[in-house]
Amino acid sequence: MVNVKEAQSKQKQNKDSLDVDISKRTIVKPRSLRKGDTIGIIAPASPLFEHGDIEFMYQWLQKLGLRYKLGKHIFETYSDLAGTDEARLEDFHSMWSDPDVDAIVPIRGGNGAARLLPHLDFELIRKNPKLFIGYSDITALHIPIHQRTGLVTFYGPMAASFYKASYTYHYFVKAVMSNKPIGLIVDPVASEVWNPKYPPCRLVIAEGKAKARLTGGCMTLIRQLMGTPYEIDTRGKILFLEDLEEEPHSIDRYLSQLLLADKLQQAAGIMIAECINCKPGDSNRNSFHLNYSVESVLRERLGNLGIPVVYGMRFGHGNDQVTMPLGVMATLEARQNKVRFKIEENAAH
Amino acid sequence: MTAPTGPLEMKIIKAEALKPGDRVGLACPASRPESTATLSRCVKVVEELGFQPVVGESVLKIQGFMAGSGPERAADLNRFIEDDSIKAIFCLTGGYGSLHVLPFLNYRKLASTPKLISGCDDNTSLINAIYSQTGLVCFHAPNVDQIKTKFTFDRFRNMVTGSEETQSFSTREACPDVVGGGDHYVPVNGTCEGTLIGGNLTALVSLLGTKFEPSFENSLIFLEDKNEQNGILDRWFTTLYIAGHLQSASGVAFGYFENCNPKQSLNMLSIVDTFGDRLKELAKPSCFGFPFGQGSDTLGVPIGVRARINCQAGTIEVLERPLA
Repeated sequence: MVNVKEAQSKQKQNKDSLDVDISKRTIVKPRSLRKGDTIGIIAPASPLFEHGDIEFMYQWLQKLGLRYKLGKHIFETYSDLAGTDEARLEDFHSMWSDPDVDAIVPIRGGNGAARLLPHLDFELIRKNPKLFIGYSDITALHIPIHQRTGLVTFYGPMAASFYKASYTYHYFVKAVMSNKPIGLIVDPVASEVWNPKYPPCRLVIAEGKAKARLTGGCMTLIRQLMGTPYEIDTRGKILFLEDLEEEPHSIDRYLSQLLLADKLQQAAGIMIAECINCKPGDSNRNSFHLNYSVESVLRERLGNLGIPVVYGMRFGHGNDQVTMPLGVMATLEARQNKVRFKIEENAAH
Repeated sequence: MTAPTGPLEMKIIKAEALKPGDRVGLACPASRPESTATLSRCVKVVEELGFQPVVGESVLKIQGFMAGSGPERAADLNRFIEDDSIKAIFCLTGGYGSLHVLPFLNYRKLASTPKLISGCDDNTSLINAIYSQTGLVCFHAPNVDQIKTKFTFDRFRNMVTGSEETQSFSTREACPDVVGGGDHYVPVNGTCEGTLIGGNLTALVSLLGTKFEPSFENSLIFLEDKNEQNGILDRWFTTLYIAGHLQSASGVAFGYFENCNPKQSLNMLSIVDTFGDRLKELAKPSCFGFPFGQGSDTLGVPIGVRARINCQAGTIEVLERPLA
């Protein structure tokens, strides 16, 4: 029989208390990725549906001069997860404790990363700072790992997707293979001048200026952690949020819950990425006859917080995806005719 | 004898049973009703129940999918709360939006002059929040637009008039003529007592991390949902798991999960299996197949009262009167 609360109090005893203000915790930067380094590939959430997809990843890692180690269990399945919780946890811990592994990159998001949290060894992670890169469901690991250990983690494309577009690849390399700040974020160049893609990259929901450390992730996952010992700390942060295939009312639900918990009011600024397939009916579940758009939801919920709010930047589930490091200083300036977002601090050393 | 206290040593308050001719407020804290015909039908249902319906001012407004803005919907509810001649508030429909009204409600007035509050689906957020803020026993029962069959109508009327001394629910009521026990399934057997908390899983989890979160200590959690993808439901169940609430609870009961299935996700097992694996891990008495939900042919469950579940038998017995 598993005692979740006992496991969690053991986690707390190891000085990993969420009561400690993350801003008082030392930010720890991992070593940037270099040629010859080894990537540990794990599957903490869902598995690759097409095993053959992994071939593309091998090719790209080879191009970058990187080696890899595969987790023992990454091809197992249990429901929509890559094996049982125990198996996924074992791969996670063995990669973190392996001295030959320089970076840990999940193969995919999907569902299930949060299930590992009560049994995660944060002390092991703190003692072995490594590059950790992922997005979507991996948000459930990013938030607690960053908050409890101070490690800068990277909300960006995973092993099976860092090559999905040149824009994505460009920012991935700038984030993890460099010891310089990523710098000014520039929008992807449209391949066609005609037929512009909604949303525009920088739609201002509220004006303002912020200089603060970054945190954030996928809204569904941030909501999944609310009310748990792993919930997000947004105090004085630039909060970046994105989602995929959610009805606008679900996005409203997540934002409303964060508002009721004062999370958004405590932030210094908010960035919402383009939300892929979030038009009414796109999710193919629980859609309504009467509808609001995501933009209306954002204007209503976030328009009057007195902090800068920008919608549309490309750091979500789209092919164009900027890698966002949690914990580094950034500036966000939003005026009606101009939005400037710059990552001021290097994320790796 | 001291008044019964809830899990957080909060005093439990109960509304009076309704009598014929009582004035009942009809509100839409979340979505707007599907049509004006829906509203007329709801008014007739309430009249047939023997009460005088008082329709909220904003129920037919349209703001996106909601019946007016958050403050407008809250104002309707407060008008009812602050009117001593109104003995109950029935939610007309579910949908989404009740989170918006929570910061604006007059909880103090409601605690001093309790009323019978009933609703389900998205209104789960409302009734669990009211319970956590005031200690008032509320009812997770069909929104009026779902009271369509004689079965639902009769049980609803018995519930609000207090004509049943004690209530009980059985998985057999969900499927009286089905061979093999229908959806009755027991991941972990056991008999235990707890304070009934819950309702719609998505709407319940919406309160976590906010000051409106109810206590799960020694609770008997009951859950239902509709039109959702199993993977997403698994997420919210995981929230209850990693927050330690499943462990704090005495037991967990599951109602209808209408039209909940993998949708487009691949290889997804049923929720009976993915929830079941956590319940077995925690050795938590639990049972599927109860007739609670958000559609018609569902029973009302009082929130905040003690109940005993017998998983093997598929029964829940409410151990105290939910009304004063």
